[in-house]
Amino acid sequence: MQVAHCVYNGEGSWEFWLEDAARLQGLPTQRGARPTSAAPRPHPFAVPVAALKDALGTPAGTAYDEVGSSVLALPAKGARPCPSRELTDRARLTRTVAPPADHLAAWVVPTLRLRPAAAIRLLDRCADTGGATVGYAAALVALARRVVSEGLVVPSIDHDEDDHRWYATWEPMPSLRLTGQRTPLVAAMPPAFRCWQFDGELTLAPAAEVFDQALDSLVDTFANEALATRADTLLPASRGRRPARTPVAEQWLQALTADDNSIGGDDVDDRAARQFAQQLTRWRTGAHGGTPALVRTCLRLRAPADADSIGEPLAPDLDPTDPAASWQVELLLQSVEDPSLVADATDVWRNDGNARLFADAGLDPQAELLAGLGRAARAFPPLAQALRHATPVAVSLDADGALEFLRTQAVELARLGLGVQLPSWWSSRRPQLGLRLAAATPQQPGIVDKPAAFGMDQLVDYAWQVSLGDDILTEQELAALAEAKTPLVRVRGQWVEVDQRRLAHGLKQLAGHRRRPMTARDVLRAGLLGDNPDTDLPLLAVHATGWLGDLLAGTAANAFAPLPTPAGFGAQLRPYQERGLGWLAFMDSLAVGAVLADDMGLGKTIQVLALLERERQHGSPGPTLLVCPMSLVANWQREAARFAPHLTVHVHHGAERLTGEQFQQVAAGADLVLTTYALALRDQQQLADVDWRRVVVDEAQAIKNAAAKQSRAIRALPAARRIALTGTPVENRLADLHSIMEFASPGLLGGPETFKKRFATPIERDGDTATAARLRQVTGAFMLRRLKTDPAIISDLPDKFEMKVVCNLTREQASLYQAVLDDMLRQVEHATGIDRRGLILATLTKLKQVCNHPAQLLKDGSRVAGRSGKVARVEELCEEVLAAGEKVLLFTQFAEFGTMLAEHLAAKFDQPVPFLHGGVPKKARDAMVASFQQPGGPSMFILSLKAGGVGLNLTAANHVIHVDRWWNPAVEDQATDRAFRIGQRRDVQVRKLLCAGTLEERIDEVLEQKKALAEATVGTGEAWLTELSTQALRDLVALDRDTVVE
Amino acid sequence: MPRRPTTAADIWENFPAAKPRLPADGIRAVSRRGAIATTWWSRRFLAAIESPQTSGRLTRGRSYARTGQVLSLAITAGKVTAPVQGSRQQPYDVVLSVPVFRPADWKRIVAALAGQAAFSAALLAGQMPQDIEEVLDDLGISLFPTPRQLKNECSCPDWGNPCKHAAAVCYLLAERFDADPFAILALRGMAREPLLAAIRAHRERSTGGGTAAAPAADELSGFWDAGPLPPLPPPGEGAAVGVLDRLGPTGVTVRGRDLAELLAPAYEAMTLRPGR
Repeated sequence: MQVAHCVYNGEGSWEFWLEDAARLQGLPTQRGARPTSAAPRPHPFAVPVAALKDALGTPAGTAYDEVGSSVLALPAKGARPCPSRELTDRARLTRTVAPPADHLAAWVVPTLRLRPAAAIRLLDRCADTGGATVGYAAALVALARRVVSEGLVVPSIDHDEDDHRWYATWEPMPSLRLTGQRTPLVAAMPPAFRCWQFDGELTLAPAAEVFDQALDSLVDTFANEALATRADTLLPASRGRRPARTPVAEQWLQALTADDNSIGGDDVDDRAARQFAQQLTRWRTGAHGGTPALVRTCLRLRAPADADSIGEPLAPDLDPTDPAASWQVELLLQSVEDPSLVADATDVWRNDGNARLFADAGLDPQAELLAGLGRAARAFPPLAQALRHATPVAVSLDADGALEFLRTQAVELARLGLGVQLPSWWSSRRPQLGLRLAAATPQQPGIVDKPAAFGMDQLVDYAWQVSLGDDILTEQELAALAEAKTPLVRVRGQWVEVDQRRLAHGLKQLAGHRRRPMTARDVLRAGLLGDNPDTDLPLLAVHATGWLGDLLAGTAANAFAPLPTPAGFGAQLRPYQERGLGWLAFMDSLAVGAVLADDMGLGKTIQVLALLERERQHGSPGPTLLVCPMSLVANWQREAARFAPHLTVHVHHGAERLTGEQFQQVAAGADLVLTTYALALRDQQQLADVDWRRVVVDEAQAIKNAAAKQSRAIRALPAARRIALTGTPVENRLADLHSIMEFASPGLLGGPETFKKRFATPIERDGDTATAARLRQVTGAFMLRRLKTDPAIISDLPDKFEMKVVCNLTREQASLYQAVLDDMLRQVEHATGIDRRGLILATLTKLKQVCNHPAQLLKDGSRVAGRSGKVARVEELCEEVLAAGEKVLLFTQFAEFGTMLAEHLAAKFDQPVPFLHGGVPKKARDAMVASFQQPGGPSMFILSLKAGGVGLNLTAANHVIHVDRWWNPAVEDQATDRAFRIGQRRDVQVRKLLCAGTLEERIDEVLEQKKALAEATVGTGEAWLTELSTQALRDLVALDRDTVVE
Repeated sequence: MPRRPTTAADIWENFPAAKPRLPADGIRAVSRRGAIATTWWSRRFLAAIESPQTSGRLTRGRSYARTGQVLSLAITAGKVTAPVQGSRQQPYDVVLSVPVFRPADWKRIVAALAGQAAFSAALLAGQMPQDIEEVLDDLGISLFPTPRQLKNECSCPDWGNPCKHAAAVCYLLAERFDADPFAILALRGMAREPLLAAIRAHRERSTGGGTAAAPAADELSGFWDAGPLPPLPPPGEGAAVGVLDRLGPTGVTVRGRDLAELLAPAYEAMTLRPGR
């Protein structure tokens, strides 16, 4: 019969030893006297070192660290140690063999010394043969395991004084949940567990000390085991250059998950380690030092238990002196880590209930509660009265006091770090007393116009109701509410805050409004802006059926089916464009203004053209006026001809534009009339006389300045339907958005001042996100904005998106173009062979230069701005790219033009525009590329086609503009690929600029029509042009004067 | 009538002031300019030394307090001892003394303070209760020492009362009182913990609460016996706030990220329960 015992030895190890009844029985009966010397003597019936390993058994994986002897203090009688209670009981030892002890003596006992990990396994194994110490140790193991599995640990750094090394360790975190265990466990520790002797003095180690050390070592062990099996290194991937010496924090983090928790071998900076240890301690103990707060004082508001409730059978009259009739703020002590664990003040004063648990964790509950109350008194004056008592438990409040507590004091108390518990009905989503508006949507008019008022100006049926949250209140309930005498009233079982004066006033005002007619616009304004008819009651909700409901919910864009691409349309719309078409038609049918604000490159033009083509096929309903910047007129004209060739398009611009009766007739017969912003102002009167079905403004940011004459002229154009197109609805300020919305849906967002007060100031100055969200919701009803970055859109988009962009020539460009042309045609008649080819090539170059900019041909260094349609378009494109925070590459084949453009764009946008051309040395090129690729680098980069066309990686850009053409798709594609490379994850938009009515446009047409031929013959550049007959050449380069801008 | 003889004090007052040595680790007043004590109770304490006659030495005392001439400050019942570095190599020894309350007085004070939770609450929240003077006055006890009660001795040759060294100690003492009103009570004879314990005992006598300490187990006869082992609490299910959340960022960054953030996976690994 053997009994196993264990001790924790204070050197971080566990020691196991065995008593053997057989050895005890074999001893001679010796009743010697107590020896005079206190020197430790060998334990006579402990299993000796040689047999210990086998006797304890070797559980798999247990590494026996050390077998040896330790000195233990054990009870003794005479000259012999007394057998343990377990051995006495189990071996049925007689009183002669096992007498009661009369003193403690030091014994040399053979022990097995184990590290905690091995000890844990052995403890499991000898659970049956073990004595009380083994059972006790098992309880510590269970606690340590729980501490770790609850994550109640903190990492630490320890210095081992013996081996002078630093170790990364885990320690238990002070925690009420588990420190509640400490007191009983310390009390339960058998003295036999702390009998290990350190030096000559015969003492038992203090139980609390042994407990803490043993638990610490077990917790560290369990934490390490969990990390070894489940976590990789905690170190993030290293960035940048490695420092010469690894920082201690990094070594420590590495050591936390390493098998061996020692830090960095010998390569540890002791000073840095000590400093790091201090930082960790400061973190662990919180700002105040000491242990972080485990409990806090908490105030809990309780409603009167029995109060009248409006809308329910009346309770019997209440006795006002009954404490249950008043509001109570109860004083509590609350666990910080588990807020549901509270002790009420009564328990705290009596040291009872949960207060005992707090006390067991080493806290002084009364002092903790009082300290909290001391701090609370400043923020909660009624507390002072309660504190006049020796042992206060609650504060009584009347309804006004309770409301004050709910509204302001609770917040202040929480800010002071006190716990505050409010009734569940008081939350941000508590039912509020207010108004609801229910409106029935008007009949949806057909697609075809009707003379009667419809859409936004149509009258709707509506009803105002007063509700509490979602519950509509009856007249009787309202009357009872208005007469209630306290600010907190129970209605239908819920506590509600009521301001009787406001309620009565609001009801009176509402009575007047009930008879007023309301239009669809009024309902929208009420629902979207919360505009309510001047009552003091908040407008809680607006509910409408049908399309009004869709608009209100901001789901209009999804509430209808996409429309298919009209038959015969020159392109297949992409899925998101068909949704856009459906939305435009839907808004149109309601005569509600629409803002199509898709990102640049998503095809706003094509969606509008599809809308017009669709209408035309349903019977031409009347002309649409489209206002755009001058530089876009030709583009619209070309796109219309290409995609919707059946539309009758009239261009109203240029010096020879139609006037008077003639214009009226042509306009009335057209499907689409194009004009510019400048003319919309100049010919304002003339345009206003036409009965437009619709006005569309392209690049609507042109009217962002609401007060500008041009914007006012555009807004004044009479049309039932309005569409604004813009890629940047908010260019600088929110006021831009307001101005655009004012065009599309006049009056909906209120006047500029109202808008500023309600939205712009809170959002722009105060960064109010709730208001921003509301504005998004309001505008969302009238605006369709898709972003290229939206995954749903990206999947619709090709990786590389190529567009031709048509520009106009200015009058100056046109004259120069004609002059160059005339000059060549005069000479080419007489030239032959090499001369002819030379002449043609030179002329082509000159013409292309004119298309770029007059100053490029004249080489006179004259003014750049305002003289080239192409440069104007480049400016516009760059502006959009910059507004989106993106980057653009601009390719030109002319070095001198590149320089000119770089200077011009740099000045216009006030930022550096690098220009990479053949003359830039290698080193400077690399620097340019590197700086452009950086997030903060330049946004625009001009490259000469030859120098920049190959070998560079410019994936920071997702826009490519070919300012002039090389007529060689291979060369252009190669240049495009600077941006479109592996690593470029966004879509790339490629724009090739063409001047309308010039050789640029016509050569492009040739290339498009004869793609196969082009690839064969044009692949070598422009040489093929020189082989054309004079007539063919004349046709190719002739200027179409229609396209010239005034 | 013969001219009043020049006193030693006059000589020292007019003697060109030697610059005091600046110790490296003295206590420096928190207040950098103007008045030093900011609470009403520390100002009430300072009233015992402030008078028009002492203002010059007090100003120098304040400046001593700010430059850290006072090397340490020990408050015990009735006595404050502090070495103060002057111009000589050896610091001067300043001893302030005030009478302590008699045990019978303390009994009455404890009873009075225990009678209203407001007193302990304010003290524990770092405030001297507003009406404490009134309550003690009713008992015939003055919380703050009168000028006659506040005695100061200094080993310096200045005969002024107080000298600048003692004044510096008074100012630092006042700052100590600002931060911890219990310190005044400790000076009058009862330190924070005994006082709180006495108040609690008084309170518990009236509420009938209190727990008897468990008797110590007999180490010899119970040597092999474990006491009753407490059952483990049920595993927490999300009620506990995570340690990292409780402690917040460490302020130590490794490779650009805060340690607390980097430690999160370790906690996840530890709290991972099999089968979840």
